[in-house]
Amino acid sequence: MPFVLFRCDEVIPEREKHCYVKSPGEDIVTYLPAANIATIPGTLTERGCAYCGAKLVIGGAIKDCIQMIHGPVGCAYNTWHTKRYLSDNNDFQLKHVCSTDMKESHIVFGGMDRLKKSIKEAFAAYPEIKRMIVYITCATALIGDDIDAIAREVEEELGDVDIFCVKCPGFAGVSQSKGHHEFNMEWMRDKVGECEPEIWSPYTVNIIGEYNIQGDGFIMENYMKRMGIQVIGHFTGNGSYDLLRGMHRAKLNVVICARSAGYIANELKRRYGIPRLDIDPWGFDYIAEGLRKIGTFFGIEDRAEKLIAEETAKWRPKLDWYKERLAGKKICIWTGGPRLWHWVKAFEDELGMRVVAMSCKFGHPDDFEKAISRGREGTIYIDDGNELEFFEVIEKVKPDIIYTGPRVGDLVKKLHIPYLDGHGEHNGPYMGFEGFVHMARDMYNAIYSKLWQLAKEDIRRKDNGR
Amino acid sequence: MGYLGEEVAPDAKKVAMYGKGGIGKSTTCQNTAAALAYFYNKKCMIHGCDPKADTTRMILHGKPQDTVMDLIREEGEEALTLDRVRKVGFEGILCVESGGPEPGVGCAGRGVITAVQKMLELGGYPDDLDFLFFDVLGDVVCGGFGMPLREGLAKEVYIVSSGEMMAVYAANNISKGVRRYAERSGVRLGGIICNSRNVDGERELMEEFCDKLGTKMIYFVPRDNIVQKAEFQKMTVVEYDPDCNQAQEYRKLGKKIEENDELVIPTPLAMDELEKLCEKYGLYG
Repeated sequence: MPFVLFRCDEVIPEREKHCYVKSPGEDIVTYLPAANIATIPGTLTERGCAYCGAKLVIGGAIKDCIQMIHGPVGCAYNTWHTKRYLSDNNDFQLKHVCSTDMKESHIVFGGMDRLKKSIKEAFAAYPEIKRMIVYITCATALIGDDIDAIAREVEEELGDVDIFCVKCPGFAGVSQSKGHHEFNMEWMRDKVGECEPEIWSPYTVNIIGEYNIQGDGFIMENYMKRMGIQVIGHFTGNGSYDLLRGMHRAKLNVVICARSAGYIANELKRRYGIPRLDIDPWGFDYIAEGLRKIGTFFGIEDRAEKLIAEETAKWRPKLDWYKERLAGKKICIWTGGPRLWHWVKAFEDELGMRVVAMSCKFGHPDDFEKAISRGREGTIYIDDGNELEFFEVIEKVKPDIIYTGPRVGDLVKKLHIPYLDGHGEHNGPYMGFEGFVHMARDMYNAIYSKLWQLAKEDIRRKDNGR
Repeated sequence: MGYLGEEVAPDAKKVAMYGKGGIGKSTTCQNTAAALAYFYNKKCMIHGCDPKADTTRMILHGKPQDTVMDLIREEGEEALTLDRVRKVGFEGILCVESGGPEPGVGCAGRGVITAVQKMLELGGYPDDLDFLFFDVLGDVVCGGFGMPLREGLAKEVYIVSSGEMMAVYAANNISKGVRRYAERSGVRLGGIICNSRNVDGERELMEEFCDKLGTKMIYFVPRDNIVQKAEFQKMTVVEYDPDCNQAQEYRKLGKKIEENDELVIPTPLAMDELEKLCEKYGLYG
């Protein structure tokens, strides 16, 4: 079947090329949804801005630095603490965010003095923190505030601090994806190579594109540790600012989210010759395959096998219990981008579920190549999906559960369909062997919850004793 | 439109003066207002929209004054009152300066928008004005500097120019801005004021340029050093020596503006057309 035009899109027919249903005999050469292009006017997009991509997704996860948002106060709050990326320093970066709180007169007279004052106040408020990321926003980018100049001035004055400047205003791209890209390239250009990490293992990696959502990264770090592998830069979950300045010393880049951080892996390969190895960390089959690849790279296959055997023995029975109860259930994945293709086969092959619809906000064509290649026939694939389209999809495919974000999630809850947070990972972590069991458990709890039956009852129609 | 949608100073001629930087906008604006007030007893007001805040100094005799933006920055919006930012100068002319950032920082255009909005909120343009002048920095470089043209605040634009190529370029560009706003806000071009630099063929060039623009040269102000002499004393020539010829020139210019009813939507020239025109009169900048 070619592209489909939803009923709700009849007035914006341009949406047709973003919506696709896979039919027998078709592949990505035949039909590939348009992606990573400007939102079609009239569609109620869920996309975020480029600054949000840089701050909320990438920079905000770095644990040992102050986040300074140079803009109106909303830019700080609206990209703060909704991402659930934990850290081992008491979640400093989740608890604290700073804003220069730009007002009318700061815009007119320039915000550089205010930024300088804010930076110094923040360092004084958190004396144990000596690192900072400063983000420009739409307003301060438009008036041309030179945040680099201020950062260098403060570094000189205070002597023991280091400041990274992210110059990616909200309007810089078609979606948050541009912000991921900018952060990658700016970090590579400005910071990689500045620090020399202490090396304790002949096997060193950077974990790239992993944000420690609900502790995912802790699981990955644990696996690496058990294989005797040293993680230098964790880009960026539970990431240390200075260790990330030493990424050039790793022997291998293990890439998890290729969409948000493949860029820095490619640059590290280009500039330092560090190979890039992409793995899927969700699902037993995928994580086992990923660990085997890493083991093979370093010639420590035995350690990988030992780890896989231990973990499988521990978690397989639990997963099997959930599998029996989840098999045949229909699921939608409506997330940011790569989780479509990371998750689809894990759900289908390992849990026997059917992924009936997938949608991403900021995926690029290569994300759809992977998602459609891995996804089944009859499944609906949507780029930059919107609420009205989602309602039509629900009507058509009648899913048992939906992995999506809180905004769409709250809408589907009103239709009495269980939703799980596909960004914040509900009761994660979701990565690795135990993570996949958590995922199955969350889905089981959601689908079988009595709440959905109770919610359907309209208590206004009961007599209530009268 | 005013803060609550009503027209401000409904009976006044509301004029915005634009032109290349250094061309003599402020000098022309202040002298014209002074002449209208002195010779014809008109009630005038000047709102200076230049971050340098020097567009009313000859009316106020150099008296430093709080600008709208400075006051908001230093003391907050609640400190803003008409008494503090609107001063009375020569012949009762009311003077306001928007103020704004130092060169190279911030957003001067946003400052113009904010200052004009604040004046509207405060009811800072009295109903009984005969003339309201907006003296605006340079070219219409961004949306902010078009603020006086928006929402029908200024009804007519006068471009101060000389017969020099860059001034003509600027005048042409400003005309583009006027045309952009004309449909939406009803603003019109009243004409070009030639502030003479005594270059050859100046008057002829300006006349042909105005003709192509679809407007007219409303006045040719000859060059006279008495203007600079008066300026040195922080006065307009009208105040410095009302009987001198130059004061009479400004009186005539004021009268022309008052009587002008040929308000047009300009037809700006294409770049090559403009270059040919300048070449024809032997001007290469």
